[in-house]
Amino acid sequence: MPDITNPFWIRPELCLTAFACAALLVDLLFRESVLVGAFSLMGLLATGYFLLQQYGQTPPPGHVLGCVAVDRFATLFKLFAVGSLIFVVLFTLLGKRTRREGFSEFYFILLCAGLGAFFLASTYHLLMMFLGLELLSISSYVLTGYYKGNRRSGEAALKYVIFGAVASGVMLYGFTLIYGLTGSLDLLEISEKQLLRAQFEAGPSGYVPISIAVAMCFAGFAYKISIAPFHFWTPDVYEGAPTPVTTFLAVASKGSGFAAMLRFLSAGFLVDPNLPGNEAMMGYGVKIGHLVALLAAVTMTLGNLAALQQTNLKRMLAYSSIAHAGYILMGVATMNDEGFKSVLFYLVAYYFMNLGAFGAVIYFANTTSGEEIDDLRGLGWRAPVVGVTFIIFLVALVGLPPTSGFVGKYNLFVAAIRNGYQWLAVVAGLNTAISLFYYFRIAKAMYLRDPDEGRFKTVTPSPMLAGLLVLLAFGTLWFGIGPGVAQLQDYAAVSQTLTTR
Amino acid sequence: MNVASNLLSWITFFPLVGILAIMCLPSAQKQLIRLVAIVASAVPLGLSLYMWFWGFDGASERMQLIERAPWIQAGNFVVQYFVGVDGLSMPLVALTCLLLFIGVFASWNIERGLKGYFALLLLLEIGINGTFVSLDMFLFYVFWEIMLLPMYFLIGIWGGPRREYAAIKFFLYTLAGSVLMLVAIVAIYIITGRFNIQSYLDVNGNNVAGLLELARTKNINPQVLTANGMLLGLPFQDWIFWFFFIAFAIKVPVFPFHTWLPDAHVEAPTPISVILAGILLKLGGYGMLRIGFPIAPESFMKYRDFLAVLGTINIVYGAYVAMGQTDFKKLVAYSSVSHMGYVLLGAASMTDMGLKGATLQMFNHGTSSAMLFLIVGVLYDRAHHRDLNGFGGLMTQMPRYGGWTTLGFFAALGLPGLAGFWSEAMTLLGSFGPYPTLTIISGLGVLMTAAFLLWTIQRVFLGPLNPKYAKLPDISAREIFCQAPFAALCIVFGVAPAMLINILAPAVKSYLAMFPGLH
Amino acid sequence: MGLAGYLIVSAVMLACGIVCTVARKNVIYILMGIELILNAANLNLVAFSRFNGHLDGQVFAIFSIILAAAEAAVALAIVLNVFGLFDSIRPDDPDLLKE
Repeated sequence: MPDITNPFWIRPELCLTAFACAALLVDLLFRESVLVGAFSLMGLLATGYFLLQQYGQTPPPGHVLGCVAVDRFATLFKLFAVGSLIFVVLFTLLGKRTRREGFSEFYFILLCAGLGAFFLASTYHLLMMFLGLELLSISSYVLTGYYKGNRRSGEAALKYVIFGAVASGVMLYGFTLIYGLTGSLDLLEISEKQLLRAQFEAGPSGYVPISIAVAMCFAGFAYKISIAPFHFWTPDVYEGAPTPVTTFLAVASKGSGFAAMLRFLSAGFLVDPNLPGNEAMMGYGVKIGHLVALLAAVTMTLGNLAALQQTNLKRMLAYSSIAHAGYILMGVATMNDEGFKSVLFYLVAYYFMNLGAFGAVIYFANTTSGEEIDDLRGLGWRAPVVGVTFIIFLVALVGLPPTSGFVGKYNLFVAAIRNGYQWLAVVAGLNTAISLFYYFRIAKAMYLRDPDEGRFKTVTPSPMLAGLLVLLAFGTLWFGIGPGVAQLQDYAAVSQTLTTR
Repeated sequence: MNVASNLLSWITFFPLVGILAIMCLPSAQKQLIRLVAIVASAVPLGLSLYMWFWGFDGASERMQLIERAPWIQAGNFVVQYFVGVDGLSMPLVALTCLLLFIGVFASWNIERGLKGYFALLLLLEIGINGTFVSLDMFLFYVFWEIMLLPMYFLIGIWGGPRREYAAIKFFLYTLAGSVLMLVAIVAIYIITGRFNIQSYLDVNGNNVAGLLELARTKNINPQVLTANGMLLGLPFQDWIFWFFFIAFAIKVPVFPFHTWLPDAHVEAPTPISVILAGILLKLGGYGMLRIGFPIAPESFMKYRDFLAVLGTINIVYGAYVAMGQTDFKKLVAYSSVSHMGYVLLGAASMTDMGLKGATLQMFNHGTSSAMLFLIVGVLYDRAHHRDLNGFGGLMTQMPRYGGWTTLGFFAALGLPGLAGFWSEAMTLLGSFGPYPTLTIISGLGVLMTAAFLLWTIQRVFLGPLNPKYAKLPDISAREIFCQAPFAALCIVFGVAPAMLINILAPAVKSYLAMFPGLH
Repeated sequence: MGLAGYLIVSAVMLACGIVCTVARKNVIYILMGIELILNAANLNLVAFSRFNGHLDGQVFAIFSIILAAAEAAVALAIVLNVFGLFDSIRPDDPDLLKE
């Protein structure tokens, strides 16, 4: 079963680790942070290349080294992480504030965080899951506080580390309870041997310990993907952290969090009559689904309502990302393959629009050195290309056609309605309408307001960054119409890795 | 790429060529940009005229000029590029092309951000025409939403002092309605497995129109239809009906969803007001007749009395509020609310006459309201305000303008011999059978409309001349050029309404056939 | 002492840890609370491992101890940085980022 003899399947991890360590050496030799950034970018591209190779092959059964799965699901999420890291590194290199000296170790820690995301997304083993989560989290704490003399950055890091440590501690306690109930740390083994069966068959008295354990594990996942009531850190951290780091947290970190959550749920609580298992278990899965649906409704509503009052761009995007976590949970609530597929579908769609939105924030911050919505006054006229791409990202974030945001949301709606959560679809729909209001405050500032005369004659042109944004806007549209949707559907189909066995 | 065989696609997507061309031009070339915009909107107009006179068989009940190709076929997306027109949508497509063409001319004075303005205007045209020709619900929804974005910016950037508020209000209202529509569309997809509008409308099939009927014939008992077909105490079909109805009612706008309309109209620049009143409101009525009502026929029959009441409220309330306005544009906006009430009343009557009246009213209001907003625009361009009490005696100063205005007002108040008369009269005649009381109350609305329009003429054109405006130039040739087509249509369809009714009649007949259990 | 005893002790430790992180205003106390939570989990792991008869849990516990140390190191570095910036180690004092 353990396919340790074939290094093909662990090449991406090896490559990323090697480049991370080598990045430190490069820094030592040349003392030039731009060089280190370029070097990390090379490493990420190489990792991405290996991952693409892997994606084309049929993965081996079982686990490499006993606890790391290399199935398509994992590969997709690793690609997701690498893809966002590439943009994060590029944004760092092109950002005015982050381009300066002393940013060398930044790239090393970023690659380590990426490695953590890799492991988090690709394991059924509770120990490995914890290690992946911690590697990702600890790196993120450091990255958040990377502006050393900056008070906002420091404050954000402090809040993040306290919140994160408590949440992951609670999750660890939940893991130990699962270990105690089943005698195994391997989720796959637990589900295959049906080690929880006795608990479920014991009826309500067996439900209590398992519910406590699941709830505690959920605390960890909920914190990682910022679901209510574990979302309090999000706005502060997103606002205080360097913007590329915020991008990383909103895309890669959140994506891996969802991957781990889906794996965790798929291993024990799927609602699928075709799977081996018993009715008691399925009934429990349905109950978890109801809970998740409730969390989804609360999360998206809280996120959207809070976003309405924000004046800071990054803080607003933080609440928007909370709201999006709520939308995505709609798919999780179904607890079956269709819902999980719609989650993957949405995550890929989310990738383009969120990276793009943060990229545009960096672009304008390069000129205005401000991150308030008001700082964007009239800038749409001064930087027409970036302005239009920003509008496309906003339209996608609202979920209007013809963008990937629309097809993603549509898919979530189908999953929710087909599985009996019509009310949730209506709540999500009304939330969409609310979200329009704050997203279009950006459009309003960019185009409906006149620029202050003499404040900025022109926006500092940054053709590279503008090019990246155009690329991302193209992706947003490509996956919103025509053949791109079918491709997205193919990617999303890897959810079967989790749901059929 | 044969134009004749892909006529609707050409009409819909030709403005895209214009958008690309405008994007490539330097913004200093203002005349060239305007010229490109004219060409890009003239070609669809020409094509739509060709369609009206040669391409379209007015006697047929069927969908025509159909184009059909798979668009997205993956997972939950079984979407077709499926377009076609029948007697209901064909005149509206032509009207859209005309309004947008005139809209370009009416935008001659706009100087700021010209490139963006015309690009958005042409994008708007794509959205509107696409919505009218779509026969696939997914496609319909996509075009429906595409329309919102240009409208938001057109009002928000080029509008009046409160433009930001008006723009976001318009956007929010419409979006709130359309997300409900999306939920309904998804539910329909889940039940039937497709988005095809025509399959519900095919009278030559087994007369299957309703959603439940379709689910039954396809032997589907979806999970969403709980044991007794109820959801939270309402039959599933009712939910679908209400979701669609709210989405379209906001667009019409039906009382009490109308409050975005006066704001949007007052703040929008003249050409945008013209397009908004002339064609965007019709999308609501069209959506109800094309999708909203036939898809849930049992629910519609159950609630149509209520809809008739809403229609009557629209007619009377709109006219009543219009009477109290001192802002010229707001007055015209509320008169639109009143006039669109006829569409709802006629549709609720479910008589042949009433429906013909309603569909006719959609077209005729398109021409007459366009005229009214152009008239307001002419005065506003000169006096820079719209306060009705600030004018007086303009008839001597601007006699030609006075003439055009009188013609437009008479068309709007339904003077016999002009187009508005037929549509209002037919609607009222048709609805008198099922709803005599409501019809009489609506008749009151006609009187009130006449009252406030005549009073407006008195306030603006008669009495002593306000010396401030002693030097106002009369209506210019370009402005007359904008007015003339609409005036001509009002007169032509006023003298010979049969030209239009003959096209609408087959569509109305097939529409009525979709409602089982109608006497 | 049976398994139940260990579990009760660990549950009490968890409760103390959570109360400490929620109620205390001083970052150092909060970090100590976090340690309590982690150690409660470790106790669980070791106890379950002992009573299940295999070593997975104990290995997990070793990893978790190391991770706790790493986390504490990073957390203290951040606290130090914040202290330098705000002259305070009460997490309520920095309030540049607010609602």
